[in-house]
Amino acid sequence: MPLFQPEKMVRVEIDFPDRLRMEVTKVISSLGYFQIEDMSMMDLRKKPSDDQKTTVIQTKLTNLETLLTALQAKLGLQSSRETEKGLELIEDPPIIEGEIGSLSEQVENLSAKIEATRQAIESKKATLKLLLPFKDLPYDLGAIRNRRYLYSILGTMPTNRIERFRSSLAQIPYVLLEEPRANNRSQVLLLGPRNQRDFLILTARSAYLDPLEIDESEHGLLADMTSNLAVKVDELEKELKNLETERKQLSGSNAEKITDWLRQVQYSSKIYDIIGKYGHLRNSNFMVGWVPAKRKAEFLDLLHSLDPDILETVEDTSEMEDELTPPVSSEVPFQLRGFQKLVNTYSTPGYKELDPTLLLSITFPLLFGTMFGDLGQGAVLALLGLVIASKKIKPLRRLSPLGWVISACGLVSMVFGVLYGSVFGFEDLLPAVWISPLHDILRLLIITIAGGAVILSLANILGIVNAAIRKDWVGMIFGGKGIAGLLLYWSLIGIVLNATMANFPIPKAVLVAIAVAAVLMIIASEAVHHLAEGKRPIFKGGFLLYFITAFFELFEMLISYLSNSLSYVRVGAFAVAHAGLSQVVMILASMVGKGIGYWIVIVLGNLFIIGFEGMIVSIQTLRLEYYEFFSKFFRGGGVRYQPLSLSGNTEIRSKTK
Amino acid sequence: MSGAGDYGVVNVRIRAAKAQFLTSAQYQRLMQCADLACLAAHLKETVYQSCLDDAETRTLTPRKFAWKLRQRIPEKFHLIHSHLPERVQPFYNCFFQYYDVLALKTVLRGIRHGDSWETVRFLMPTLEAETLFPYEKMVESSSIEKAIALTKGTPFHEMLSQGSATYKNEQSLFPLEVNLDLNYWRQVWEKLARLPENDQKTVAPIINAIIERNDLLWAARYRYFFNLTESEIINYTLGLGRKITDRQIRQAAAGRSAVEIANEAYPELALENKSTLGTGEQLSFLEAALTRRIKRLCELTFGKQPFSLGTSIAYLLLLEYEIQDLIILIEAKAAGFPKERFEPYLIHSIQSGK
Repeated sequence: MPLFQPEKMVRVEIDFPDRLRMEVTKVISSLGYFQIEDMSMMDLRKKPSDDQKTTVIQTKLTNLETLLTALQAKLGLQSSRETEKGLELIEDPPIIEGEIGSLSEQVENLSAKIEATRQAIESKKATLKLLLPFKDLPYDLGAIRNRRYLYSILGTMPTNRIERFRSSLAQIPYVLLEEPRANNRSQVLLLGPRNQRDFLILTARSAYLDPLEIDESEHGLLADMTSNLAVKVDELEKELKNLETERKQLSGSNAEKITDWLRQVQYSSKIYDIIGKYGHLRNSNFMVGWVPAKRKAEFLDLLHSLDPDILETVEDTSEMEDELTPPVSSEVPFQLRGFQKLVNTYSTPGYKELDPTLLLSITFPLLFGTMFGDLGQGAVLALLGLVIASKKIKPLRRLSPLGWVISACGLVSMVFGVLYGSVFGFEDLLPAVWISPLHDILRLLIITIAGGAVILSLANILGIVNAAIRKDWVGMIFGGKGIAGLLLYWSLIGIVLNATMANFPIPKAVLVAIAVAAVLMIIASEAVHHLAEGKRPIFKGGFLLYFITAFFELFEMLISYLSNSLSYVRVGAFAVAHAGLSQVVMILASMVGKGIGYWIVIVLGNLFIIGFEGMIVSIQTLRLEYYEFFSKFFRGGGVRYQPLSLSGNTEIRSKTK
Repeated sequence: MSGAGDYGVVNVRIRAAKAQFLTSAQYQRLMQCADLACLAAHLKETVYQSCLDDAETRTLTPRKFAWKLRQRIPEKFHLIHSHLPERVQPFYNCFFQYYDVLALKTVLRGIRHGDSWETVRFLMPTLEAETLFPYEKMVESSSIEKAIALTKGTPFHEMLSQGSATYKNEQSLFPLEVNLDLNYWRQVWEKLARLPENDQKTVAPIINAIIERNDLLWAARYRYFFNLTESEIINYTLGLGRKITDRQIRQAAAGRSAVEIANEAYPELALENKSTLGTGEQLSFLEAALTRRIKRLCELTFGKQPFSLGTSIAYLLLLEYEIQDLIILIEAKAAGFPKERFEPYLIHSIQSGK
């Protein structure tokens, strides 16, 4: 049953001498079906000196990768994702270190020059910006600065402070030239005796005068200085352009080389990562991993053909200890991948249980369609799903697996649309083949509860099967999710039916007897479990405590059966709500009139129902699946099968839960 | 239309609000309180009940207590604002920006000390809902430069940005804070000149008195606490008052007693020059005396020309002074000071009941 159960795996332990380490690693990592386990903690060597060498190489490779990535960024190169065809393992990094270092130095120097030129441009531009407001003043900056008896401050200040500034300078002789500028500020030139320099600086600062801070090297007439600076900026910009052209050329001539180096370094780095996961015996290495059982023979042949010194042990999952967790590989047709995603969102299926993907792909559209039965709206959803699944719309490509889910839901909605006699909310165009939700509400609700009981029974049966797969025989027979639980659930349903139906075939006494027997089995389940496994005491905490605990657990189970069953009423309720909402759209449309407005309301109303109600129904369906269905049999917590694969792309995928 | 037609409604509102000021008897009761809980309990029996309604008296800190009382100021500002003629609203808004100046200074100091928003918040005047400034974000930016950048689009941004470079060079908030004050009062002064004559007549004496008080106290404090030169002090003052002249500011900057200068400018004050006190303490007494003078001017406005902007400004100032007194009481009670220690600093004169 490949759709229900994960692919069978075998555990392989491979023992090989040091001389074969690289060869084995390369072969194993390129297979694409070997999932390695980290055994590095197992080291029986007397002198693990070889590890130091590997660590040194790994460090060098990491440094080279950093260097090459930086080079790529500095030269504006795109990172490449080509295959590793022709890639070679770097066993001695210094061979390429020199060449990479020299190129890196060349690029560094060029980048530094470019940066320095950029900074020079920024600095000149900033000075120019400072000087521009003063360019029309007929002063020589050098002459103003270097007077023997005069001290000057050129700058800008708030215009409304000038009067107060003059007042503050009253103690000394001074000249203050002002020229109003924008933003309530004025250019000012303050001249005073050089021996009052400190006074002038302090007073100017307290008047919020921002002095023009120009490098001492700048001199000449202010007008000349500004034009000279503009010329300098132009020259520097040309220089920058030349440097950038040079960098572009360097990039063009080395792009391929750098990309190749980087790919080789990454490849080698990953190979050494794999080596890092090997365990070490006294005189050899060993690795442990998982291989699909169907590839076992092929894998062993390959190992034997590599070298006769390679020893391997293959362990079948049926023989291995319970603590070991084989990875789970569940290949499903691409149409079911959306449903598989929904299952994985809940949890990854465990190795020793049924994969509920196929069941979900049946029950999910069924529940959705029951709640959202409409031929027209279902057709829209089915088409929308097909469009998404076709990957024709770029932004929706990532959602393509869900396209099939939507499509399946749409198709089942169409079927129920025919059964309910509903097309785009019109209830009178088609006759209801089965039932009209708005006219037979009670019957619909009872049917959905019955449907819910079928689904819950199915879940319980699956729970029994899973217990059998796990070889949990006591749980299978005595457990609340086992045969006893199922018998109790069925007998309770029987008692209810017996009370409500005149000609129910099973007598009430028989049903009560089954229920009592099931209850006793459930109460005894833990004790039987202890007996079967030889655990003592049989009644943990004493008989009274055991009995009280079991009683409350049973009580909680009964409540959960009741609430889970009633939960399915929502399926019928939503079918009624859907028809009701459609009626509202019809009423609104008829209020608008019979013209174009009528059809606009119909279209918008249908779109609203498809979008809004469709979303709510999806959430309800998911809720029923996760909490009512899955919780009865599905444990999850499996490990995903993610084998090493260095042949197809540069990434080594690691085991993740 | 002007006078009674324009100010009829606002005048009624202000007179009703004025009647809610604390009476001398209430002040006496508050003075007799032994602790904050008693103070809060008494205040809950006054118009401040609405500010203290949700306050848990036992856990009320002086800082939070004061912050809650200050809620009354923006509340009254809005009450008056909505009834004022449009032509005077720009001045009224500009005058109220005083609280933004206070808040900005508090925020900048908070950032400088590395305080959190929760600490700074309760040191600020209550105006969050009315302000253009993102104070919380400013404090969270933890940097004076970043905080100033956040004021973009507000009235003080340009001035603060220019001050940002000065702060960077000097690592002192002093020039920034002084610039905020000077800029604010210059704006008030400029907007005052644009008021209709009738309003200008009643508002100008009050603003003039405030500017004179500020100039004299700034000059004395910059000299005493910061040791600034005469020319710096001239630049850090406004010099717009009529009775406190530049000559007197220079004298204060040169070390002449500010009390002497005040007596010269306002002979009616007849302040006692207590040479036994330190300069700092003397300046605090002087500040209280000059503020009392402004308070009297505010009270006179109600009798002189009730249908003008003067009463609105006077009411806001009287409210501010009442809250300042209450804050002094809160801090004094929290510190357990005897009456003699804090009474001279109160603006409201308890003995006379005025």
